[in-house]
Amino acid sequence: MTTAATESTGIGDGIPATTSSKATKVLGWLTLAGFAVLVALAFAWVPEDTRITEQGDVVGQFDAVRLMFVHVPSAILAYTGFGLTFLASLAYLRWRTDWWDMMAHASAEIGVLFGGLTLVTGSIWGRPTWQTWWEWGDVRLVTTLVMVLVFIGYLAVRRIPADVAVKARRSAVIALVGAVNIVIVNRSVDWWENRTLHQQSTLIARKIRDETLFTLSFSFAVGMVLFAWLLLHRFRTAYLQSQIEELEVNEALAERRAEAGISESPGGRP
Amino acid sequence: MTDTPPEDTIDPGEAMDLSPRPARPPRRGIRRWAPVLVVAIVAVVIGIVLWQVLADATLVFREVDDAVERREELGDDRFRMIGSPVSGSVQELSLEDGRPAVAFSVTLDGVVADVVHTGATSDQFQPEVPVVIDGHWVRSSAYAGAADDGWYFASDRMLVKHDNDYRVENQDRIDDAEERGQYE
Repeated sequence: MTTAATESTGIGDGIPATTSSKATKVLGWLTLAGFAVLVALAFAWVPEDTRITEQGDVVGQFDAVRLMFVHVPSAILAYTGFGLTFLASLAYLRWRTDWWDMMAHASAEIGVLFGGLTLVTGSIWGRPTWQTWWEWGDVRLVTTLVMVLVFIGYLAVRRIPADVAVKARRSAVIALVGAVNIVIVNRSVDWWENRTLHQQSTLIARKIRDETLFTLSFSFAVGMVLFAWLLLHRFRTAYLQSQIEELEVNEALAERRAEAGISESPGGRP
Repeated sequence: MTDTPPEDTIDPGEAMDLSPRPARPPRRGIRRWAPVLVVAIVAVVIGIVLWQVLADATLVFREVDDAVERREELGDDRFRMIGSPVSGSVQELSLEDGRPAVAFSVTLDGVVADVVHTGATSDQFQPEVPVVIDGHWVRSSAYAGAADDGWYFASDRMLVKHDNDYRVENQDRIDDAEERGQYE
């Protein structure tokens, strides 16, 4: 927050006029450049997925495999967002500061964004690979959907009018409960192998060719930069919002004091 | 003239009513209830999702060896079976009622079963790439394949379970296959 511009916003002195800063500008440009390189790597450098069987049949996912470079990082960023929400909620319940509450809120929104993207890209990848857009009862798909829905519910709970502290405590508890599902989603392909079409981890099994591994790792790096950029902006937006709400309360108090003809004491109390 | 003194003569400490204002009336309309409504909708959707999961008992895939072993017990129950198509076993045929079908064999852990599939086949329907087929056992020798054991699995829906292998092996053989036009 210290690097953000602090020119006048018209709503109060000392409140930043923008959520942008040198750091976010650098992150933004890095993200754009990273995406450009990623597209080039994914389409021009990484070969299509093909294998040849002992009988001489050529098998594989062919060009559909390139969806990996969007789908897998999206899933990792969704985990990161929800995981960060869990940690920030835990910290809020321990220290009760607005900073942690705003961090939990900001990361949950980003987690929902990437969770939704994971579901959409997974569905698009599933059609040519599995022959289906969606399978009810598939544990990986359904637990992922439930994870996203729980955090949409988390965000909805935050919109219910209530005292700030009550709202923060209530949503922190939901985040802690919802985070249990993150582990279930991640491990579902191993725990219920015969209840999902989804493959098991390629990276853990190290069954990946070098070009694909490099490009996938690069997509993680670009995704993390994007995540940091979004998080900084969203956190600062939440901070500005809290400052505006505080200003509105102060203005209302000042109006009441003016009506009463009471001057404000140096300590802020009449 | 009235008994009320002019405003500029009011003593702020005595003349003004400083008791708390009554609370503002609660917000009405959609703004007040929208978040509650969203939470309720999300809860209902989660409930439907879980119900769908629990209700869809057919999703469990039986592996070929398990399905073959329990063939008598399963009878004509509908279930899903997973196995890898045997290379060279795929053949197109026409059923007695004239419907087109694809006959092939699937294998897992050395156990083979014959399949007659009447639904759409996947673009990824390839030898050694596991398929999940939805159907039931039929006791008949009409469509004998690699198993040829007096049974076949009549399926009408095929899904593909791609494995986690993205390595390249035998690149030179892949290049040869491409040159031969085996794939583009």
